[in-house]
This record gives sequence, C-alpha cells and structure tokens, in this order.
Amino acid sequence: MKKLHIRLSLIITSIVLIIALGIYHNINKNSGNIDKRLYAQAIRLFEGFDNILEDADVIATGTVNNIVIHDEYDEYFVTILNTKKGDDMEQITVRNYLCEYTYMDDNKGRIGKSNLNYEIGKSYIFILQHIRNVYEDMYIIMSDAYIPLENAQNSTVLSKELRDIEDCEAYIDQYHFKNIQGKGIQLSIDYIESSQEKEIVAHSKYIAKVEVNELYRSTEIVDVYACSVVDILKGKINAAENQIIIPFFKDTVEIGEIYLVCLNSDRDDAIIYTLSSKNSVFEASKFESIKNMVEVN
Amino acid sequence: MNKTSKMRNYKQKLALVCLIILCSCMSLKTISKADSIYFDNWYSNAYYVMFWSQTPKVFITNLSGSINIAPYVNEAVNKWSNAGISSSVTTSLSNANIRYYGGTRSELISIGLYYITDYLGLTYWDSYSYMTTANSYYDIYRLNAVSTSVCSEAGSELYSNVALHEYSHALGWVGHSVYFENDVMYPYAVKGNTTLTTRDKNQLLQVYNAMN
Repeated sequence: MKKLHIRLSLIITSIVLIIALGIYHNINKNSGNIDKRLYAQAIRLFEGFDNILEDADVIATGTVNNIVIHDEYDEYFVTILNTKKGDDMEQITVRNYLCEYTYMDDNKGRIGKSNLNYEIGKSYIFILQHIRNVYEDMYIIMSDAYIPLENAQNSTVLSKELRDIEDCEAYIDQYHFKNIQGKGIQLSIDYIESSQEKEIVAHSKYIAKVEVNELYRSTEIVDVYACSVVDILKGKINAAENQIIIPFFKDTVEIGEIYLVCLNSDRDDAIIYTLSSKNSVFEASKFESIKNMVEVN
Repeated sequence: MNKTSKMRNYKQKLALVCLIILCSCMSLKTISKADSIYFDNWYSNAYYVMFWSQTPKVFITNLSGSINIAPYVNEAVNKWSNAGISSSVTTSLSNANIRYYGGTRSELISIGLYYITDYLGLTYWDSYSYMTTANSYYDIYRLNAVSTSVCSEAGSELYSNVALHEYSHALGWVGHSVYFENDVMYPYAVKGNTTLTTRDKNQLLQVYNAMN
C-alpha cells in the first residue's frame, strides 16, 4: 500500500512539473512579446533627397533630451541647435512612426523599416513635416531621414545610405529652397483655438445636430464614429445614407446620444467632418442658443 | 479506515490524476503543434506571420469624393478568394474585421492613419493576439481588427495595385517580396502589378493552411 502511495505521489509531482514547465514556457514567450511593437505597413513615394528638402516644413539640427516610447511611434524631445528651414524654435517634440515600407528608386524596388536608433544626448539633422488638425499638432520625421551629426557615415534616408552627399549639413546650408513653406499645410485641416461659442460658431463651416451611432476605430487621441444627421444649422452637409463620420476626442461622447457639433472638412464632398475646435461639441439642449448665433452671423 | 472509504479515496485520487493528465496533454499539444510548423515557401523580408482564424469581413469607406476605392477593394477580395483565401465585403460596420478607407492624406490622418507626404497606402494592425513562436524564425499573430487604406494622392493609375497590395497586408501578408519584380508584394512598379503571383499566394496560403 505504501508503494502505491509513493508511486501516486511521484506521478502527481511529475505531472505538476510538466504543467508548470508548460506554463513557464508560454509565459516566457508571451512576456517576450510585451515590448514587441508591430510596424504599420506602407507604400511610399521617393522622388529624391532634394524633393524631401522641398516638402519639409522644418529642417533643423538638434539634440535629443529624452525619448518616450508609444505603441505606434517613438517621441523625441529635442533642443534645437540651428534652424535651416521653417520657424525658429528652442524646443520641439518629434514623432518617429513605426513603419515597414516599400518604394521605388532608380527603377528598383526597395524596402525599409523606421530607423529608431536615436539616442539621448546625441545630435541629428531633423527633416520634419508639420501636420496640424484639431486633434494633434505634430512634427513627424520625413522619409525616415536619419542623419546623425557625429558618425555622419551612418546617415540613411528610407533605409538607404546617403552616399552621394558627404556632408549633409553643408549640403542643406548651401541648398536654395524653392518652397519656403513645406507640404504640411496640405496634410492639415483648419480649426480654431477658442473656447468662445461665438467665435467657434463663426469659424465653423458646418453646424449640425447628430446622433452618435457606431464606432469606426479608436486611437490614443480619438474615437471615430459614424453619426446620423438629425438637423443642420449651418452649411451643406454631405451625408451618405444620412450618415457622416466624425472623429471625437477620446471618451467624450456616447453611442445613442445626440450632440450639437461645429465642424469643418477638408473638401466639400467629404463625408468625414472634423471638429472646428477643441470645444465644438455641445449638448443638444444648446440648439436654440447656437441657432440664434448662426442667424446673427 | 475501512475498506470502502479507502476505495473511495483511491477513486478520487485516480480521477484527479486523469484530469491532470488530460490538461497536460492538451497544453503540450498546443505547444508542440506550433513548434512543429515550418514554412517552405518564404518570400517575405519579415519574420513574423499573421492570419485570420475566421473569414474576415471588409467594410469599405470613402471618406470623400476624392477617391472611390470600392471597385479596387472588391477586385482585391475576389482575387484573394480565387487564390484560396476567402473574405467578403459587408455593409455592416459592426460586423467588419477589416475597415478599408479611401480619402485624402489629411482625411486619413484625422482618423489616426498617419500619412506623411510620401505615403500612398498604409495598413495598421489595430488588434491582434500573439499565438506562440512557431519555431526559431517566425512569430505568429492572430488578427482581430485591421485598418487599411489608399490615399487619393496615389493617383488613379496606382489605385488597383496599392489597393491589392494593402489588402494583402490586411489578410496577414507581413513585410514585402524582396526579389521578384512581378509580385504584388514587391515594392510598387511605375504602373503596378495587379495579378497575384504564385509566390504572393503561397506566402499567405502556407500560413493559413498551417494555422486553420
């Protein structure tokens, strides 16, 4: 009987050990994944280094003071040393989006992956796109341009070495820009910085009462909803089957509720409308007072 | 302790042992299944794979009149379905796993698809689950939600290629085909490739065959 007890104990112990090992095995693999960020996939256009310089809104040398890791991008806090293009600034926050990409260069297909080798305390040339909408105001690294001031031989644009240009800073200093302003404005949508209802109403191309229906997608910043148009106070709204799309600031509206919203759009034929300010969402009960403001305007 | 209670005691222990053996077998089976997977036809530069465990449904949205992506997305859905990877277009947003957007770059940026000046098409893995490491080369992820897009600035000549290329990403084709110029997943050509090659298909089919 004692032998049977021992055998049983041995079997149970070994089975418990196997399970524990399996769990440990899985935990190890899963925990290895926590720091792994998956890169977005993109097709990009490359029309030469000079075009990147022309399209840029800001070109400056700067030193990285801090790096913050986000799910979709790395954020660099930079002290500007010397501005080559764009407005002079002392500090700037730069985003480097994670992306695996393809593009054509010299009739050859190329691939690349966002260069995240920036280091705190090191200085770089930053070639940036300035994109502004009501939700975000951001400076984004263009064409994956990674140009360290020291070890300039490590410079890359779209993951390809910058072999043709020996001294990138001197090249930019001598470059004659045809476009003083870059292309960031084309990627931006107009909005107003105001909390005054009258100003917001005056600045909005469209004002409508909408019911929030379904969620399209969520980001760190916005929840994008399909909304049905209940009433229009200002502007001609294009509604596909009476529905429009509105990105609201995260967790600020609820499905099934009705709101009065002041909106803008990039194009007249858009069905996506962006908020005209950070304070452009009102309770439906504001309808009459906003209507009066529209009529006065 | 009498004989009956001893018997009951042993029966309980035996039941417990059986239960533990069953659990450990299931646990080991999961691990060993993934560990035994090896992909023979690898044409991508990426070393992780993604797949849908259910047939994905696509919801198409044109954010403005700048582009109508519907015909190109329908074409992409049909091409992949003919290749053996089924998906369908849905008119119900809530039922969709893949949301396919067309619009200007600024419109796409406002919904959190961060197009910079040089982007033509972009795919985000919105939600996925890490499965396990198949072997020393590949990590495997099961897709839960994907946002993919084509911007109007890509130009009508490239819409068909970019739409099919991005849709292939949305189905789990990670990375790009590096060496073969005719592949849809090769970096785009001037007029673009719009026919899925055997390499394009096999890259994804081998993953679906192994995982589903």
